[in-house]
Amino acid sequence: MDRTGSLKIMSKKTLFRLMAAFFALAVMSCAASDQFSVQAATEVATDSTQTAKVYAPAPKLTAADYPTIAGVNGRLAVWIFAQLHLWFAAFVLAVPIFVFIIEAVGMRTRDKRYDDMAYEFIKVTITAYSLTAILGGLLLFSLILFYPHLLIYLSTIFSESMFYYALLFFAESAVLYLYYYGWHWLQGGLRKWVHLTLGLTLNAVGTTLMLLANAWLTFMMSPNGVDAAGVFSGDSWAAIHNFLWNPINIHRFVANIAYGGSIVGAYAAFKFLTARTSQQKAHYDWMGYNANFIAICALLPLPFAGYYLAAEIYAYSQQMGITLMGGIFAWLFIIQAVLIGTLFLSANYYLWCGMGRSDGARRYTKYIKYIAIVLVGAFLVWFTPHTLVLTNSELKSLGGPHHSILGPLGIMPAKNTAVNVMIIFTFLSFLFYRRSNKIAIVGWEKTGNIIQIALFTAGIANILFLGIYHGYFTNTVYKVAASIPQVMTTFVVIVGALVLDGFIYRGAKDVGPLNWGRIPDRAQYALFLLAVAFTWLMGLMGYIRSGIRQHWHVVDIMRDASPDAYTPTLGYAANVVSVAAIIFLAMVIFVFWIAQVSGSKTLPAGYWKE
Amino acid sequence: MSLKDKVLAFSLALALCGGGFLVMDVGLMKMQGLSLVFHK
Repeated sequence: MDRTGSLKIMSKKTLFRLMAAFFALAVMSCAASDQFSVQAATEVATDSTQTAKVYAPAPKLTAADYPTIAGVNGRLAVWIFAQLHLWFAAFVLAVPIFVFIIEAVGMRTRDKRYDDMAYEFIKVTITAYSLTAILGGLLLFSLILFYPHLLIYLSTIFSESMFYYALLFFAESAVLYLYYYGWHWLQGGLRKWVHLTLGLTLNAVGTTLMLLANAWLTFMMSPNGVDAAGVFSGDSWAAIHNFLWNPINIHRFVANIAYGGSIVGAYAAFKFLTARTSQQKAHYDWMGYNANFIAICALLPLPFAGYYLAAEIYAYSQQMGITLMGGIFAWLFIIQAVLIGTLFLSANYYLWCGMGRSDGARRYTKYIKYIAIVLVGAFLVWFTPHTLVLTNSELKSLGGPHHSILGPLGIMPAKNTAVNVMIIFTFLSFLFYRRSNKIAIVGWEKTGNIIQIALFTAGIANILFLGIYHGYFTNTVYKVAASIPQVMTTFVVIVGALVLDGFIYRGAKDVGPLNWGRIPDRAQYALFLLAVAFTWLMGLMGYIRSGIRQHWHVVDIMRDASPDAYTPTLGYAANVVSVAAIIFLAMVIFVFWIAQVSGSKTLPAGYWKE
Repeated sequence: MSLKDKVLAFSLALALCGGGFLVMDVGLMKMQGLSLVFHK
């Protein structure tokens, strides 16, 4: 057996063992929860034939209820394992979504390159999937060890969903193996349709898993299906369908796709930089472009999903909302703004470099500098803080913590304006990229272009009007309300310009063949930057989402009585997230390396008997 | 296409798009129980 085969089988066996261990742990936790439920709950007879389970209230804990094991800080262990598990889970849930889409595109166009690319993406996921399972196991172990009462309380409420989660996890493994190992077997005609259906099933199962896990964490933020003392009503659906469940579901679904795109983009960049032949370079350049395209498509609506989530957090609890963006965590949003700005700049930079693949791009390169100026301007507005950190003398000379003119740049109307402008100009970069290799043949091309310019001008003017007028001259209600027409304007500009562009370039001629691989190496580093910025961003924002619960395990229901029941300093949190991000990226490099090793063969001369 | 025609086409398209966005703004603010212009 060659090394490829042995590696595959080894990873398969390891993976099965891990799945079995994870499943056993999950079942054990369900059993344990049931046992505790029996202890904590009493069966009371309501009539001669029926019994109703009465659940115990949420436990009131003391510091003694949190075990100390080998001097390890429980919160830190849970934090890091949860974060690592989430990063990998986001990756392995997202990649199959666009693998499915790419495979379907390949089936429709009958272009085998798409099928090969989809297969390569899913190959990278296989090792990542094992690591997701290992880290999930470690997270579960650390919860059992360090937060047993919280886990028992949650598993009492979510016993059913946890059990189905374990079953679904098993189902996902089975479908993933069939999907991956059956790729070359299920080719052509009906077989290909069977394979595509497996991809769809894989995504359905994976998404359901995410929705279930989201219910557990959102229950901790916005508990439902329990009374004020935390007594469970017995209605599992009410506990799952809590106030923040759907906002988190939407935000995570979109963010996972963007994140998955950025990680496989980094994989393509890694392969591009290590490629030895021009064919390989061309292939991985094409792969990197597609990955970046997926990441951008999901990145564009992501800020709006984030705003929706934040608005729902405010709607659920103003106190939680103010802690989120007006209190201690506000400064992390400045870091968030810097990172999101980095994402936009690197995604645009990659597109601009990619225009070099076409000889026709020269017609548009002169506009890039203007796009860059606008993006940097919007970026600066986006990370302008509302309240400045100042010394006493600085405060005196400024007359307060807010600047009279620049102060409003720190509030949401200015941020909304900046992000909408950034999105429109990123779309403009994409539009130029799309046009760079095309020559329109319709007679009304110039009129079409004029209409497009007018659409962009009117849209941007409208966004600026809404942002400036409502930002400076109205009250909070108007400021929040004006964000909706701003978003809709961006949406109309993008859709309108795309439709118009489709008509202008209908039946267009190509300038020449696209020179895949003709892209500078520095563009690949933009793809790495995209993956690193996404990873760090997710870690920091995940900390905020969890941190706004403050000293509660379950908000207003179950208090955290551990010695760690305080909000750590932002510096400490940033260090923890940064260390976790470095560990994660090291593991990702390992995944890339394994994917490369699995394709290499060694033929030792004279080692085997002839 | 002469410069005059270009300016004319642009002005017409700008007026149409701008008008469209204004109607959309008024509609979306009205849906939220507000007017586009702020009243104390």
